[in-house]
Amino acid sequence: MELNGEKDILLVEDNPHDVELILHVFEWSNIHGRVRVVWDGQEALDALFEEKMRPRVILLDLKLPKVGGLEVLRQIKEDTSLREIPVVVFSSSAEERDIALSYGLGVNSYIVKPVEFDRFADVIREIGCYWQLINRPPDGGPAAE
Amino acid sequence: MPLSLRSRPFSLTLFVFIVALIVLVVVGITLVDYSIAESNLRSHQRLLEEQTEIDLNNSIMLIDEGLKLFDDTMNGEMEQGLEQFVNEYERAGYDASAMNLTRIKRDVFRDAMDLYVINASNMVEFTTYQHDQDLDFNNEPDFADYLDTIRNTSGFYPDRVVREPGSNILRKYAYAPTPDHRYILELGLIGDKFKPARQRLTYTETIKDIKSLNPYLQDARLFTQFKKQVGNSSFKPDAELKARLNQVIQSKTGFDWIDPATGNKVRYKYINLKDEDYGSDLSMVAELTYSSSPLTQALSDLVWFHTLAAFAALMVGLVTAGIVSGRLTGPIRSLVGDVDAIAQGDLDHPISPSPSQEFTVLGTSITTMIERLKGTIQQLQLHELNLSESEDRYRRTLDLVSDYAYCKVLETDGTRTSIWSAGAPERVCQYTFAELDELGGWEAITHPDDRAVLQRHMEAVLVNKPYESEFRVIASNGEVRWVSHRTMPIMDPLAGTVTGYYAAGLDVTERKQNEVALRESEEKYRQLVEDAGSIILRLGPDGTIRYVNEFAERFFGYEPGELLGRDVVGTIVPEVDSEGSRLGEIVHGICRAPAGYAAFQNETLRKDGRRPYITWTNRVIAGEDGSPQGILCVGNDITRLKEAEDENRQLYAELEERVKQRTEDLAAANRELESFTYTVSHDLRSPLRAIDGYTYILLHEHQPDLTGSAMRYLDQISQNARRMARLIDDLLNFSRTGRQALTIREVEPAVIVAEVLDDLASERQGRDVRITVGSLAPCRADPALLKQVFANLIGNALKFTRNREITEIEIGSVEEHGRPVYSVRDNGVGFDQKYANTLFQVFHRLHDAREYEGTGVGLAIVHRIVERHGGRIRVQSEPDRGTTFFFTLNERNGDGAERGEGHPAG
Repeated sequence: MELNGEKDILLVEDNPHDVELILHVFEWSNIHGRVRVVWDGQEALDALFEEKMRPRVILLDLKLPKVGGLEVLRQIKEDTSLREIPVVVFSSSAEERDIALSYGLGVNSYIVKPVEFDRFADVIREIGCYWQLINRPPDGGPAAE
Repeated sequence: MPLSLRSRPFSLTLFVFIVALIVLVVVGITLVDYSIAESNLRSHQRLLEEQTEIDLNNSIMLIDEGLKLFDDTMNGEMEQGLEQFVNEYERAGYDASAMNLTRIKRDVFRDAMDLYVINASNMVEFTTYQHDQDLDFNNEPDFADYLDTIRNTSGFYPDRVVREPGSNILRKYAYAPTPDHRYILELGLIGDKFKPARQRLTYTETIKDIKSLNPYLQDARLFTQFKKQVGNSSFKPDAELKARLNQVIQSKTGFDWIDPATGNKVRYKYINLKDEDYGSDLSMVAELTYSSSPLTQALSDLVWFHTLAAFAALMVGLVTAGIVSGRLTGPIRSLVGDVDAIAQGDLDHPISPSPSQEFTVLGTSITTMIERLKGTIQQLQLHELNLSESEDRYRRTLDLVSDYAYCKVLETDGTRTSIWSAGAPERVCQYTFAELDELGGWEAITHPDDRAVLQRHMEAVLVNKPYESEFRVIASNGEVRWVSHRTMPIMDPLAGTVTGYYAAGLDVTERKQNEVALRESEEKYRQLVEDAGSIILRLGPDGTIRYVNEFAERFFGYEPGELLGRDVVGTIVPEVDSEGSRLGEIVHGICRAPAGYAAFQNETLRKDGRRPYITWTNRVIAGEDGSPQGILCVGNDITRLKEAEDENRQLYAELEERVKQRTEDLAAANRELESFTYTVSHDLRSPLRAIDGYTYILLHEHQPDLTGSAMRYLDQISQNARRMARLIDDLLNFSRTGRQALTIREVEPAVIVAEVLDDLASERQGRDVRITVGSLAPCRADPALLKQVFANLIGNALKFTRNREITEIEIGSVEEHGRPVYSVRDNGVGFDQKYANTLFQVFHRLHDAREYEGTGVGLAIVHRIVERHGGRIRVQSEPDRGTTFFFTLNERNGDGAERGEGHPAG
């Protein structure tokens, strides 16, 4: 994880194994270099508010230490400069409550982490492709690559 | 039937008039003609008479002249004879007695004549005719005078041929006086010689002729001076006739005599044939018998003729009159007809034009009039319609308000005459207005006890005061009805007197009866209230006691009447109750606005200070406008109850506390469990992901470093990890199905099954799967959970038919005891029925995990869901013959809690 250059993806995840596996998948698509990982909610907020990071997409886990994922989501969506950034909740929780709350706060997408790795990998890849390559960012910039 | 001129048609009048005219004319003419004819007839008759008589006269005279002439023919002979006679006298020496008359007669006159010597006394002194000897001519004064006259002369005096009286011998006489004038010598020629010749001139022919000439002459007779009938010498007149004849002869005038026997007029005429030159008077008497019968006959013929003529003329006249009047009145009638038609109501009937100008003008004028009339009529009709509508409205209104109404005027004689009425008194007393009047008005049917009341109405009217009263009347069927009767006088302002009055009324029997019933009812209730074993109060909105029953007074320890009018707060209700609530305020509040306080309970205060607890049943007493006028409170002493209640409440409170506590505990436990499972599942899953992930990477990216068995083991690791994940999911599910709330809705299982089949599409790929979905009855269930049930069952069906060539699955529902029983059947591997019980237990599996994977939780979940819906599930199977699951929902009250022993449940 290099902290240099523009980072397109902000990954907010506390499980190191999950992080490793996600990055591994990103490697296959060659976008791992563009990923910034933060390990808790507070770090995420710092990155966004303090450092003014503006990624193309935020991958957000819900179960986080310090500041929970929903709180982070709320703050992101309440900030005028941040709320345009697409947030994808990527959580192992399939609870309806979590889904409802997330969408209530304005999440752009809610993905449940599958246990099976092959499926997990597919999902990651698709997320990466979609938000990176296909989706046009709000600032009107070109799709990456 | 008397005919008044007014009702006679004009044509008839005209006709009658014309006829009358004609009749008049005809009758007049007839009468005139008749009278003329009659007078003509009469004068004719008279003329004829005269003529006859003249003719007779003349004829006789003529004949007489003729006779005279004839007679004179013999004069010469006579004269000669008389000369001879005189000579003889002279020869005789002027002595008459010396003559021998017989010899003279024979010798001188050859017996042709008779000789007579008449002396100075006019007597036949000497004669050859013995019959006449001593005949005295003084019996005939006229002849005597003649003789006297000629005696003293000289000459020849012929006489007429006469018939000798009595002998019927004709003689011609002649006279010659003697020269010494002492005698008259008379010769009488015997008539035989000249008789036939003379008789050729007869009067009888004349008579016959005369008779034939005059039809009125019934008979004509001629009589000589000697009363001998000419031509009928044998006739002997009777005494009366003689007398009559004598009268004529002597008077030498005729006269008329009415024959009493026949009524005929008999005229006697004296035909004077006396010639001075002759001595004999051959005058005759004519008797003319005139018969009136020819005249009468002629007259009657005349009358007949005239009558007939008149009749014929009348007939003709009538017909003519009829035609004329008809033609004349034609136009009139036509006009009349037209106008009549119009008068009958056909205002549009046209007036046919008439040939005559006046009628045409009339017609036009009438048409114009009609048009105007029509216009006026229309207006009038409109007015009338309005009027009648208006009157109708008034009548209807009146009718609504009262049963009857009328207006009477007071006549000068004290009677009352009705000039207008509406409604029907029959509604009250079964008499119509007419019948009532006949009976004599209300007085006649008023109940005797109420007569005075009725009297006051009239008294009030007379002093111009309205009056209202109620009294009883006896209806025609004997029923007694109450009437509310109002009178309103009508005053003539100019005269200052009451001229009449209006009256109206209605039947108030029911009201009266109701009043009575009400009073009785009130009495009853009063009794009830008094005798009730409950406290009964009536409070005004200000809280004052308006009424309190005896029981209450006794209960609260007050004297009768002591509580009336006093405020309920301070007497019965304490200002503040034992718990400190401001009861007084509350109660006053309730009194002001009692709505909503149908029941109330409070502490009360007895006079002795004790505080019984009373439960009240309150009822709002509403005024007519709906505003509360007070409350009626019925109270019962529940002091003991209250105490018991309080105890209960305590207990309940405690219990509730405990229950609340328990529930809270349970809820907390539930929440704990919830978060536990959530955490667990989340935290358990993560490592599994990691395991699977790393394994995957190893397997796919580190192949060169791995042996075949290493690869196999790694694969196993991965598989197990996945299995565990599935187990976790199932357990979570299982847990959730037990806890989560059911959202029951009407569901269409068919839709759910379709979704499930869709979801399981991948399972069917590459297989020959035949799924039959029958009609699935709708039911009430949690859709999500029901879906899980079907997903599980159908998923199982697909799993356990994997080794079949053709997989057959049937899903359907049948009705049993009014409820649907759903079924899922497969032709799969089946199992021994004796293990059916254990099928729904968690983790119990009947098949080798090597052959058929599965966590063993699925059916437990299904079972729990079905149970929570209040249904039942059972299974039927045979090894290698397939399996059928049957389940119901809503058999018992849903969301049944887990059953304990005796039920195959997990």
